[in-house]
Amino acid sequence: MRKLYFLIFYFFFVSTVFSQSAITDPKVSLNLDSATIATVIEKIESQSNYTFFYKNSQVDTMRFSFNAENISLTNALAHLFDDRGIKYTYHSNNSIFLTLDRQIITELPIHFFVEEKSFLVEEESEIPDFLQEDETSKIQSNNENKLIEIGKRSGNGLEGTANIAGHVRDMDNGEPVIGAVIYIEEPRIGVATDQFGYYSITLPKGRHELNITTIGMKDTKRQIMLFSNGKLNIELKEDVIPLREIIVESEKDQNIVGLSMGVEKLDINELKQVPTAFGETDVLRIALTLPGVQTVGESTTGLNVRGGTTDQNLILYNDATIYNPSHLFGFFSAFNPDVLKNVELYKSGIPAEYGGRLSSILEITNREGNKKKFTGSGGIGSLTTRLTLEGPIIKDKLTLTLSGRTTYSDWLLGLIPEESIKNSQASFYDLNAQINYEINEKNSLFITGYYSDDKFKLNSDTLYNYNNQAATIKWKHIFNNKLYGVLTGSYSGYNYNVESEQNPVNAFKLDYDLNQINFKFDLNYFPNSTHNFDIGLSSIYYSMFPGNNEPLGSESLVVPIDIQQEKGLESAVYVGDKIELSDRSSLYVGLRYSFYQSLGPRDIFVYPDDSPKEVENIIDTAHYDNGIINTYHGPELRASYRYLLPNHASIKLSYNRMRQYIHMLSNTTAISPTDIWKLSDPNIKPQVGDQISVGYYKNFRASAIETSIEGYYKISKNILDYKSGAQLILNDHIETDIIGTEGKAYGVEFMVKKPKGKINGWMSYTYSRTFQRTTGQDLSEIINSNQYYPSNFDKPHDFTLIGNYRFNKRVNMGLNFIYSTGRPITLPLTKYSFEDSKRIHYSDRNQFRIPDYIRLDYSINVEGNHKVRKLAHSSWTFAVYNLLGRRNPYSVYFVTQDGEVIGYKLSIFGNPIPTITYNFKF
Amino acid sequence: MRVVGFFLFYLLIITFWGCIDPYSPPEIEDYDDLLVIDANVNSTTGEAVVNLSRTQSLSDEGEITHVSGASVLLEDELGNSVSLVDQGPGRYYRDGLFLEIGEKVRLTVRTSDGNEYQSDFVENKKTPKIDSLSYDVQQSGVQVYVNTHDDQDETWYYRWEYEETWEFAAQYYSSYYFIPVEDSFTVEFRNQADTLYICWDSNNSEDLILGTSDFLERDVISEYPLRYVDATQGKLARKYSILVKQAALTNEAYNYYKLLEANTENLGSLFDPQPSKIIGNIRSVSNPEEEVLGYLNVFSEDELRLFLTYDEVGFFDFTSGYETCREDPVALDSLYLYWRYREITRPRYNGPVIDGYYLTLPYCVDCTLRGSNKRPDFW
Repeated sequence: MRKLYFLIFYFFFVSTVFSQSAITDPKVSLNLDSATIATVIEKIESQSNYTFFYKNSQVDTMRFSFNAENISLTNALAHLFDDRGIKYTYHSNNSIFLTLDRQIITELPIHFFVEEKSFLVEEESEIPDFLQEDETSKIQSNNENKLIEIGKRSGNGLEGTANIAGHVRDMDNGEPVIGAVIYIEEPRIGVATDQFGYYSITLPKGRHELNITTIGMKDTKRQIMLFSNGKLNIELKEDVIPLREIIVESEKDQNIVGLSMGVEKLDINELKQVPTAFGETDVLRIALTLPGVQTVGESTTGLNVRGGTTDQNLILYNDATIYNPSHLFGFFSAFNPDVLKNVELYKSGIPAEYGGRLSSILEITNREGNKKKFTGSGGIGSLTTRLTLEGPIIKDKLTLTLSGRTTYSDWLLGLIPEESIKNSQASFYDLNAQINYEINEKNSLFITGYYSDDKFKLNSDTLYNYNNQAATIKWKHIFNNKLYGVLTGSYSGYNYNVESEQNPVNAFKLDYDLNQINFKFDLNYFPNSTHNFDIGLSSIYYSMFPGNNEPLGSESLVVPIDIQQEKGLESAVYVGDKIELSDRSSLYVGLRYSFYQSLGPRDIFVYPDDSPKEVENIIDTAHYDNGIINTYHGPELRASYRYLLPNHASIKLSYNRMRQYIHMLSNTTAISPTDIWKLSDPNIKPQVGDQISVGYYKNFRASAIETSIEGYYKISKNILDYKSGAQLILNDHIETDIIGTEGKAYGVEFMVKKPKGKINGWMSYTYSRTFQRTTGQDLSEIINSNQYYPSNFDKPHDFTLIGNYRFNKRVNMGLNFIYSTGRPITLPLTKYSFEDSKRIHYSDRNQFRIPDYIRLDYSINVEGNHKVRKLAHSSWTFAVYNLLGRRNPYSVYFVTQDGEVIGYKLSIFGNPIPTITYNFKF
Repeated sequence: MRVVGFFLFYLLIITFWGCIDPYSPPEIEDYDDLLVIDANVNSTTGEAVVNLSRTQSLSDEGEITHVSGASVLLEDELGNSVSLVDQGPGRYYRDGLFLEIGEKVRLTVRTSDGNEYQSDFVENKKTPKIDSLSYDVQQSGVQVYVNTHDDQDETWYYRWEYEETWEFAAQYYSSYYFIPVEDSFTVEFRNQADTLYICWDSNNSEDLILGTSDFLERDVISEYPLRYVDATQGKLARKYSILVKQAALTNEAYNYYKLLEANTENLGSLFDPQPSKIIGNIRSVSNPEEEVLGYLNVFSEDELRLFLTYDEVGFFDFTSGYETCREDPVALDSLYLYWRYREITRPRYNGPVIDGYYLTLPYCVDCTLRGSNKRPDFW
């Protein structure tokens, strides 16, 4: 009954809010010298139509001195009363109430649902019939000052501790706020909200001031009186400065206090200001500017995290694995920026919950959609256009988000009079659909679907087509304040096909298909303020068709080749505990035990143990029926430790071991859409990697400036490399073309960050090296005589500056400066004459480097006017990528032309590229 | 319309994004000095040619170092051997080696410094006949295709070379010419036989042209794009001919050439494989650690010629190279000023009387400056 009343009240309240027009804030001129309150009131009342109500006995002893001409009433009141502890409250009928120390509450707290009928609003007053334009901030401040009683008053007084849990949400659209920090100052106890915006904190019973802080939202606090366990939902208001700074880590002070290290968080809203090559926010491209993340060349999406290969990153999009995160050869990332919420990259200190890849976890999460009203957003860029619609189906309960993005490059190509371009195709699109359903306080359901598709065909010859599919269903159940569980099921698929029918005899269609089904169950348990357990288990079932080549058309003579299906089951159980050892030190210990089973039916070639895997050495073919072919398993230990130093500083240590059972096969330097993945089997061992890292973090000027130094050392085993002329596609004995290598990497990352202010951004310098070496014995398995040599992405020096300057609330300017050492390449040292042509001889691998990479980007973002309520908000972004027009070499290569050897260097973006993008939101 | 204009402009920018600039590798003093053995046995012509040389630094513009004074032997599986004759510099030759199909030979090279190198046994593979050469007229040229098949389904790997020849004409027909007589000259009528008007030029394939049918059910090569004849250079202005030579390759030879091609003809694109070391079929016997480059290829060949004439393929716009030519009339009494530096195209008549000649630069009437006026015997 109470709830119903509340709901009616709430709807009424909201409707009144939105039907009211803005009221005036009159200008007043005051000239006061030791005036009494009565004089003050009289002067103000004479210049405005407000009437003041106050208790004379509270304020009659005070004297006020204040001189100002023509200032707003609000401003004047603030000057007069804020320091004196006089609270002023606007009310209907142009009344203002003055009270000492305590504010009058003129409305009920909103969005505040009562649990266990235990909470009580101290001062209730009637429903207001008007509110100011800025009503939300008032609600906020009202909530901040009101004392909330949590739990039941009971006989045993305020002994011991009690737990509060709840959700932190965005006031405007009801979306959960992830990574918000909830803390009390004395004693210092704090927690951060999880991916659902959920928190659970255990505090001593009694009166506390709870501080809630996060980036991008206004900080707030709650006065609580804690009697026993209870609930507290908190709503945060978005910081309305629309042109905000770039943020890497969302939690203020979290870089110091948090246990995690080597974790970078990108908030999509902030990153929209970083200039990109095509005017569209590209999370992967921006991830590349983070310390420790590198790539072999621009326009490729492969990330090399702390010396790891590109297949060692687990890309999770709403908990489903994405195998090819790019569009159009890698020029665009496959994620529509309009639906993204944030991107989190774990480089080290990876929690036990995650596994399956050696180097990093890149977790990309969508926004939950607006729970309060229907809205839309979109953009028109130079190459793409996108549209997102979102809104509640059942208000505050069920939201639906739909989003799509496509390119007009196909149509553009058709306009070119040149025949070869006209007959080319390059198109892509991606679609997102999402449902969030808050079934009740204890249960919520998330369903997301994703589809991306790419087609390209150059000069009407071979048609390439690839697509990603992903779907996730996630059910969260809160058992009680201290325990909740999440059950996740997901499906991911990646497939491509290549088709050519130009020559009827050779016409073919090649299909590749990879599917996985995930199941995961996680429990979060907060027994008390010193422990926070994460317990779970997961299973991934892989099914892969590594290649099926078929003739196309009746005339085709192409031999059908069907590489046998591969199946595998990767499972893991894990437990992790975050332990607050003392005020200063905390520890995370996690153990993940993963096991992998290669599944039949399948034929496996058998090679003798002591000789290299060559086709000539196949001694037998073992046939396996349905069931297990072989098993790999092993423990993965994860640990982090943080020690707080005085003056906003801390040191952290971490260690993690990772195991990887699925490998990408690619002997090109860049990721290509036709790269294939291979599961571990008796002939391909899982990759294993260990990393230790240590870091020192210090904040200056009340965390306005954050600095960090992180160092790491990493070793990895069973990394794949390839023999000369390796055949990776349609090869059923791929192990004969593979060389096992091992790698080591180390580096130091320095970072200075100013997350807020008129000038903001970050600057990082990384010194890192990464090496690998072959371990084979046979001549064909040896590269550089089994000595360590630099990997393709070994770029020792890397400097990045991402800066943003806000001229005013509508105009800001972004600047990127990127420098890195050129990547290693294999240069031919000698040439020779063979069959009347000059040929080149490549010597040791990766002994030279292409010239250094330097790039400067610039952008200006102009917002439409800032009226809070208008039909549509729009903004224009003008950007120039590679402002200096420097021809940064992507590759250096040598060709034999007319019998002579000629060297060339290729730059992909050899000129400045200007772009214009129009974005809108309604 | 303005929107389209904007996008076209944008696309123009895109087209100019990428740039390719020349690149000179750093100067390296310390390079590998390796022996290169380039050995071919053509069992159809019966010729064996082995070229021995050494690698040179990439930045070295000079001549390669030939290796002379070596003893070069070819032997069959029965142990019969023949030695090749050192024709210098670095060239070793022997003819009359008409190997049987399926016969295997190997190469042994002993250099003057005492090192010995030996190849694997290489099979002389049968080359099937070229079925046909076909072509396809395109916007500014003609694409020539090769078609072949092996009834026995045994060949699978192919390599082609071509020699192309085309006829071209000078800008002007020269009907008279100056004959020097002491310090002066006379003008004579030019005989048909020593005309400078029609010539032939030719060109041989430089790049490796490799094909395979190993992904097909039957050993058929259909419309393999062999050569694109660019008409803008005037090759198709009169008559063009291409002689295609086909040779069967063993699987190993195909893989070797394919890698060679990948390393030196295909690099630079976004998705090319990394350059790699190529291991041939010749090894050092005296020092197994020593790397030796090159390959012994044994093959038989088949050839077929295709003619393309103006009538068949139609007219293409082309640049003849004679665009700057012009002829100017010169009166008889002024000829002495020009006879040393100009050629006559035709007489100028005043009624029935020749009162002067049209003169032009020698280049514009003499096609032998660019080709040969000897008609090829297959023409």
